[in-house]
Amino acid sequence: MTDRHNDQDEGRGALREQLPRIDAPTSLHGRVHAALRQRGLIRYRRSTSTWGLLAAGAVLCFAAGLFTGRVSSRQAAVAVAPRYALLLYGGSEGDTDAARAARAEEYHRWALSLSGDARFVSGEELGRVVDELPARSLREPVAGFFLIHASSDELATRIARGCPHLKYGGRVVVQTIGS
Amino acid sequence: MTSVGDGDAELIARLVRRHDAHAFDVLYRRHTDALYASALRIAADPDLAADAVHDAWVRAVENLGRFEGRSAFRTWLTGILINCIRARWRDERDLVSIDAIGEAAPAPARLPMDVDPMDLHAAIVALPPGYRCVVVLHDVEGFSHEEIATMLGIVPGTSKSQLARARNKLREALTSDMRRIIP
Repeated sequence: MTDRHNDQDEGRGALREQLPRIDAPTSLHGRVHAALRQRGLIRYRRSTSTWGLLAAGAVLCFAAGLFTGRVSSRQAAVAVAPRYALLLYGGSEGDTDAARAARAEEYHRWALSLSGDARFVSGEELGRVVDELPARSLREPVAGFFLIHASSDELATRIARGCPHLKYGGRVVVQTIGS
Repeated sequence: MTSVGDGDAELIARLVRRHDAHAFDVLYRRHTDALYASALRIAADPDLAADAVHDAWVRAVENLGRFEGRSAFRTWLTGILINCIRARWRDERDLVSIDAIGEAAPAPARLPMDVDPMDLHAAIVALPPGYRCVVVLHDVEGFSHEEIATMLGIVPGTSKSQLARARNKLREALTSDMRRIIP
């Protein structure tokens, strides 16, 4: 945008802070994504650390909004709600790079669809186990995790039931973070 | 690797060259709430607003190679959004006040201070569509008359006169509301 201090343009943006904040519906992201994918206009690169990138984007945008006071009071309330870890175990791996990329995207979209009294914080797919101490003590490695804000144990459990990891034969353990 | 710290130009380049979905996601997160808010205030219809934002993103990404960076990305996107709203209105009467040209602009009106945000929102969406459009683009989003003129396909003078009339209407609506509350 051009210079805001033009006398001819008095009042530019003057009403912005006086109006209630409006956020786009969360479902819109999935719709736009689907349309762009269908047209071959976007694709995920398979070498990425899968779930983490968009997670980082969402968190940083949210944090920036909170910091600058542009996050609504409802969002701010959710931001101080209890945090939960959804620990993902097992689950089949995709057969092809394309299948794995599609699955990563599906996890992305699911995480970013959390709304209302819940909020996605971050998430990562975990890689190989480097070591276990003491040796051979590990029953099963964690395949990945999501950190979320949720207003109650019940809501966190309900969210976990919708996690796409379950439909790929995986298991999801819901744990509180801290006390 | 894509990060939220990247500028629009860098993200756009990745999207054009590599169809990088992560670059798109960062751009989407950065601009969509503002686009949707503008669309909702202009269209006064949540479903139409969401559809128009959807159309705008698809059209923008399809034509991203033509974005030359002569304006800010948000300005370019908003111009596309306005066209998508107009396409979805499908009612030519809605365009009359945007396209009305020529009459001398009345003196700009001062809006009452300390207006309730919901009353202000209601007063804006109750304006005729063309007035709504310039008020949202200028007084809410902060675009210049030159930018608005480019988006709407009018001359800057028309944008100015439209805005002056729109502000008068808005002031009338808000002060009559206040008279009802405080006789």
